[in-house]
Amino acid sequence: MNQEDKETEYWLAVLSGQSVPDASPEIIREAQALRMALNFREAQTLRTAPEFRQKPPNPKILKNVFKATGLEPEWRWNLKNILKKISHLFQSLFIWKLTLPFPAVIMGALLLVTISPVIMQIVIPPIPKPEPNIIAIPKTKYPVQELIVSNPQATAEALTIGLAKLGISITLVKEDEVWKVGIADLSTDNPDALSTLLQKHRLKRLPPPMTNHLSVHISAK
Amino acid sequence: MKKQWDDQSAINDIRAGKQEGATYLFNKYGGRLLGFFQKSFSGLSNEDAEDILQNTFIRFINQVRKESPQNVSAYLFTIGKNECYRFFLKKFPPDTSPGENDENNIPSNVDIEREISFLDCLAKALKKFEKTEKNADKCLEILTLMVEGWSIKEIANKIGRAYGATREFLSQCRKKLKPYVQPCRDDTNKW
Repeated sequence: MNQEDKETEYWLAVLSGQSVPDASPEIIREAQALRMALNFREAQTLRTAPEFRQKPPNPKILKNVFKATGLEPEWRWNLKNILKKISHLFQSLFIWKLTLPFPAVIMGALLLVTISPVIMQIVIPPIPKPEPNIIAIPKTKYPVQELIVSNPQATAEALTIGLAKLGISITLVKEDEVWKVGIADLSTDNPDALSTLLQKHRLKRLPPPMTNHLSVHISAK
Repeated sequence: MKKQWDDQSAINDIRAGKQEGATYLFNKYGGRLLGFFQKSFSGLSNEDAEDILQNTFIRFINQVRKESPQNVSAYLFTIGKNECYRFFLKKFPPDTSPGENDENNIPSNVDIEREISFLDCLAKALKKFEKTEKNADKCLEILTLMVEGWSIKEIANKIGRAYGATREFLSQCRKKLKPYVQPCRDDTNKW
């Protein structure tokens, strides 16, 4: 047997899976790789055969795969995405680009929301409530005109609105079912309209020097 | 509404970092890959096959994150094949034969990657050989019988030839294969 025959002998032996200690490492290497390649080639041709259509394998494998690759379930992925968007929003809001970590920014924002009402109270003075266009006048050193009507509230409101339209400031107070209307200054740019309004409610202007004052008590019949 | 999956949408899902696409591919190909591993290595235990499958999917996902494959099935089976070979090389390093495993002789990662490259090259060489050479399919069929453990005598009986003629045919097959295998040897010897 010549050298080449011997090599072929060893090559075939390794190819068939036998152990051949006398064979050169190159022959072993080549025959082992060829054995593998032929195995794969054979298996590849049967890849679509029914025997290959096995049930899905052990789900534990998939869990390990997720652990190793860091893939995440969709719900967690979505949540992270939302938090990321909020984080970006915060970053864009702070012009000076705080270098704080995102959780610190969230904590800071929550703290700010919690204490902001207190800060507002301290820093910003309370805004005065808009006052109605009514000024107080002394209750009554002037003669009072009495009106007795079926609906005192409606009459009082009608009178108040009418006078307000003429730019006249009034006070309106309800005391013991009596609506008390007080006017300190009856001066207006439209005296005719004022006269008509007063006539409609059967009211009279007082003589000088009380001409510009009016005090009316409206009560029910 | 339930999402309609296909290979491409599963790949997109993996690239986004989500699990569901990987679950779809695992359920679709996992069983077939296990069958492929067990067919490639007779006597491979279920535990070992599952280890190879796990490594296949980990490597697949890591690769897919870098680059989206054209053909998911072929890509997955190529990675599976390489994982099989990695497993085999770790268990039976190149200078030992199956059954002679020496725990202290585990090859380095560089050695393993070089051998995988050699195997890839060899697989392509076999395809080229099959397309180019006359009687190549017959050669590969008989060499596959050798791999499956048939003796030359049994093969001779099967193909209806004499022992000597069959032995000579195998020798000729090796000679014909040599020019196809040699470039792979040269390439990987440069490592």
